[in-house]
Amino acid sequence: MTEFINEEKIKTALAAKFHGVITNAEVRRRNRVWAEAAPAALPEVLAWLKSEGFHYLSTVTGFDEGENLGAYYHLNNSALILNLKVKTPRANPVIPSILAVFPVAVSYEKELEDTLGIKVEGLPPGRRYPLAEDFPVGQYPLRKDWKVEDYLAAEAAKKTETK
Amino acid sequence: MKTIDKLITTALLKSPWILHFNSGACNGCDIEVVDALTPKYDVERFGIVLKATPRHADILVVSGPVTRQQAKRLKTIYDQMPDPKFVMAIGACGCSGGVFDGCYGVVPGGLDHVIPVSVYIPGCPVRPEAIIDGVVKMIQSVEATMK
Repeated sequence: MTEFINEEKIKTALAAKFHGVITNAEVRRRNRVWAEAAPAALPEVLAWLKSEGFHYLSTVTGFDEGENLGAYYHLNNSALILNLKVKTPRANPVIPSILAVFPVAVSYEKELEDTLGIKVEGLPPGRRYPLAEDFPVGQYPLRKDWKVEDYLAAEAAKKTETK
Repeated sequence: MKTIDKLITTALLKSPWILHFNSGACNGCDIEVVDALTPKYDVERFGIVLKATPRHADILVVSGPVTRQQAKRLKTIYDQMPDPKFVMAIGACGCSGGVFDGCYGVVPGGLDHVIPVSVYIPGCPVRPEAIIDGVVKMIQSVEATMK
């Protein structure tokens, strides 16, 4: 596809630099590059991308695919958006922290920990965000198997208990 | 009612000072509260003044569903207000939790599950006329109990 020169260039450069780490790199449409990275190499990949002009981390989107949990890291340079997917097994979900590369990601990483229960390795301890400080520990409301009905029933039971 | 209490309540009703608290609203009702205070409706000419601290306030105006994180803070603010005190629940969210009722982030059931509420003003967002009407009806009902 010759019309997407810039997109193809960053795609092939990324795949060549991180051979075996980056998989499923593809150009889906104009100005959109997608790739999947192994979790262990995530900070390294992002550091390289930042040095290549992707200075701006738009946001981080967490997801729950059933067997896997994970996150998309949406990076921008002046023209392209690169969506880097990282997935981690549900049984032991761990993603390394990227604070050394993008310090701004601290709120996103706290959100991953709090709402999806993905352990972010290297995230400094602090108070909870975005859930309330008295929210039950070990419940992750953005996981697909989390049911709000169960939570509300538990809350109601707790209330009658205290009365 | 003792004479001193009667005097205090009369003074309060003559010029109720309010404290506005956003307990997790979308900001729609907050804009309407400001609308009621600013020159178009101008409730300040009736002595209704927005205060910056709960210790000076007589009426707590709460807009929005109460988020879990804020429930304790809201209770603290309510406890800091001097007696007699009143609470107005502004908007559908303040009255019942609105569309946010049942979310993991909010206290189920709305404002009256956290603090006692004197007046409920429905609407999404409420109209400034409705807020003024709510204040007037509250004042009338308190005056009726004093006679």
